[in-house]
Amino acid sequence: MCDQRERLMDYLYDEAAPADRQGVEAHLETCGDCRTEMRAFRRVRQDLLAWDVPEYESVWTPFVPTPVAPWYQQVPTWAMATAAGLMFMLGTAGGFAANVLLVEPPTQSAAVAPVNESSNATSDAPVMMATSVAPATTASVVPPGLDEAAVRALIQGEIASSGVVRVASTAPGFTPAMRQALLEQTEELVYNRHKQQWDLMGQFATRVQGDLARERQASQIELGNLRDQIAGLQQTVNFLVTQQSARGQQ
Amino acid sequence: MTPDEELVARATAGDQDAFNQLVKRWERPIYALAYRTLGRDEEARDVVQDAFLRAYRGLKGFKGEAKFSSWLYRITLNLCRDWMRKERRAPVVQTPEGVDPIDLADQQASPTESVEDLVARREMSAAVQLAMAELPEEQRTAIMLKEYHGLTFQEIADQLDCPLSTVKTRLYQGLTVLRRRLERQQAEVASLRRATYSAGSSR
Repeated sequence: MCDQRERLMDYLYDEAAPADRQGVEAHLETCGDCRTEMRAFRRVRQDLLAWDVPEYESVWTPFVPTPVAPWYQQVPTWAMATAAGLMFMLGTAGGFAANVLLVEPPTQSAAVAPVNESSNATSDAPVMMATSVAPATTASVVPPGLDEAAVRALIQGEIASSGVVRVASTAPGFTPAMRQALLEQTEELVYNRHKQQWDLMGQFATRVQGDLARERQASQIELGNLRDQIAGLQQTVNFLVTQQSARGQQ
Repeated sequence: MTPDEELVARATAGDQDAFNQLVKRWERPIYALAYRTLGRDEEARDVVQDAFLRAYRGLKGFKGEAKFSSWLYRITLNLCRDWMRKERRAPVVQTPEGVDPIDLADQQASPTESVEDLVARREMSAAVQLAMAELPEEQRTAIMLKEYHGLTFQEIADQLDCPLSTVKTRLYQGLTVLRRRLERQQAEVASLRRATYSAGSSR
């Protein structure tokens, strides 16, 4: 019996170098035993193909893709700090501008008096706030659930009580009409600032709501996966217990 | 199709969907390997799940010296060995107890396959399973990796941590044993059929 095991395996599985292949073929022509063996091995290989594997359904629970962090968590701290600083500066500048524009000249101090709703009714000075009319462009910006008239009254009250706006009817060349126009502009400025803040807050709330909903969904999927895994483990435990008891009975 | 290497790199960087794709691509071959090693459907499924979990946890340690599939095969074979060692069991042969032609008719591989062919195929499948289960583990594993997973001699040697010549010897010995057993079984089946035929014709 010739010892050609390794060469026969190389040849059978087609891993022989071309020269070796020719050598094995030449050997098979002359060696009946090896020829028979090679034929039998090929038959075995064909028989091996008959070994079926049961139908397979995936047991793998796919990972849920990592949820993208909400946009407000992705903003770097320095950017948020810068934005906050800018907002503060803007507010300060606005307040400063209003102060400069509306402050009473020092020579007119005797006529200066804080203006409020009751003084408007009795004073001869031009009426400050009683007749303000919201322009059409700002009519639709009030957040739902808020009464626009109430909001405007609130703003007027804030301006009146802040001490920033003072009666300027005695300023030289400053007519009551000019004063009224200036007051309305100031009121509008403040109103628009409020409007911007409401818009931003509304957008923020909507986005946060969306992010929360997505996170809730991801958590639910994860919970479902965990439940599946627990059920799988439970099955394994049951199987093991059954086996153990069967073994005990034997 | 995205190469395994790229998916592995993405999965290592935290892309879980890339790992899902690797699982989808390889779970069927891994199941086949586990099933043929253990001979049990349930346990093979457990091994598949465990193998991919281990692979996921070990991704950072996978340096890519070997193919991803080879690494996965190695994990699977180790898990199968652990299971057999723990249970002190040899592979189970799930031989069908009786062949019901009606059931079989539903399982025909192709519409042109006759019930007789199907019975023969099922018999051969069971015979192969039985013969394989009786092989020593190292021979059985070498034959499985070669025949059902198409690994090269060198890849099998890497999997089994043995020299190339040992792989070829194991394959040769395994095929020789299988040849004898299958020939014997086929001879028995043939003689049984002859006896059944002659009993039927003499009535």
